[in-house]
Amino acid sequence: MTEAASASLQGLRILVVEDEYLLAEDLARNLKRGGAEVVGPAPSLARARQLVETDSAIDGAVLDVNLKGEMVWPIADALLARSVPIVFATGYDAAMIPEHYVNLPRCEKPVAVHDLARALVQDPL
Amino acid sequence: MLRQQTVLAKFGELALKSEDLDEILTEACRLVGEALGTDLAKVVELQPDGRTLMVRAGVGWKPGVVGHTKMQVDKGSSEGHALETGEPVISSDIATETRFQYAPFLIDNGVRAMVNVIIIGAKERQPYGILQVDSRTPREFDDHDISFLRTYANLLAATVDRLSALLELRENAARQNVLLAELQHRSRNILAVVKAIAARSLSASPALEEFNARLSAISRVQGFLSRGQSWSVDLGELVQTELKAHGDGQADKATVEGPPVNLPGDKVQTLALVLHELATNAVKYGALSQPSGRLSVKWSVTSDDSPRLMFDWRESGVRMPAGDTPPRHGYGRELIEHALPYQLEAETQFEFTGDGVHCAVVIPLAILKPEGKQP
Repeated sequence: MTEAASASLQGLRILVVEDEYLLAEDLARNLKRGGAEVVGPAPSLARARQLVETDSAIDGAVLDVNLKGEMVWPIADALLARSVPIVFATGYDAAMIPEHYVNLPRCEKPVAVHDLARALVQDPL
Repeated sequence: MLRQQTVLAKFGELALKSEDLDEILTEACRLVGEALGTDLAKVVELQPDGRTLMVRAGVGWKPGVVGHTKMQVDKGSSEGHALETGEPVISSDIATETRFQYAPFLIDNGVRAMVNVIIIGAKERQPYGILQVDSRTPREFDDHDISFLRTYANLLAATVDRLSALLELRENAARQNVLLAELQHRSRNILAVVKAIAARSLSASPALEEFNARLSAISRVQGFLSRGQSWSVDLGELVQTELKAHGDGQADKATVEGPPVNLPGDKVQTLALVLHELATNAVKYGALSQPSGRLSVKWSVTSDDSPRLMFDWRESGVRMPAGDTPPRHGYGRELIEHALPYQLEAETQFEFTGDGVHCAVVIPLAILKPEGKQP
């Protein structure tokens, strides 16, 4: 992790949506090390929706695309409507992402925090 | 008339029941020959080139005709005329017929009269072929015969269409299974590569051994998944395999008991890791490390409105030696107390009783339904 990248997430509240515990836990830990505060992690669409609805101070989000068979798009829409920058964490190639979202940043799993920082902070929407 | 209706009913029944196209077509020929009293009939199938007809099924023919004889579709033949116009074509006596040429095998089989009725194809496809009723004596085919044959040929067309759709579905499913097995195989390979890289990158240590053992547990799951067609693993098999991986000869110390429970491929990994950690600890510190130790692994499924899997791992007869205490906040415990609730909405309990470790896991069965998520 570079100095610049770790500094850039300092103090930001980042929502993590990921259904695989080990990946969610790993990402959350790395985000905390990078100075961010983690919202979640949320393992399901329902839990993610709950967090988004009740938390008005989310600064950015990392979204797994497929949550136990449910697609994360409603959460993406809700965050985009609030101008919250998002990054898709996914193994899918661009062809699997609906056209509406293809221009949004994506990170390959496992997500590296410095990639995330670059996508969320240095390429603001 | 009555005989023809009976034949339609009989054929309709078979067409719904059978999935064997040759059986259906042959029976169709037998029944139609019976209905029209000729005992000679066939179905010729239009080949993908759109220009060749093959005798696909038939009754009353000399050996070597059905399944072999081919003819070209040309305008000079009664078959070509039927395909071009889509209308039934009747030849009451081919000895005096001047419109068409007839294939040599018809003459050879003593055919004197015949009628062609087209078997239409599915939407936007070429016709499947032609139903042909032949006769060894000259004969007329009247309006009743023709309207019966049209109905009959349409029923055949629907059946052929149903079967080809079924076949296509099966082929797709088979292809998908091959791809899935290949994917699973590659996952295992990658895990093996990761192990090899770790062995070269890290110096030998207990941590590296733990890492390798965990990777092996995941690899075993992938092995299970690549084997079956259903992309799932039976819980009992998973438990037995995990125990066996920690050394044979534990059989007399462990009781494993529970009904078959299918764990879908996308849910099984965390549970396999948990079982691996429990077994590892039992072998190192617990019931499987001491002569007096016993292990009981039992599970059941509740039968109420929201069925749950009740899983219970209980060690007994374990004396905890002072000084060499098991890790009370290890990886296994984290997986049980955090990963299982997170991922499988499980309620879990993990405790050190005076007698050994006890772990109880309750998982809503609804969570264990496959949801088609790709690995």
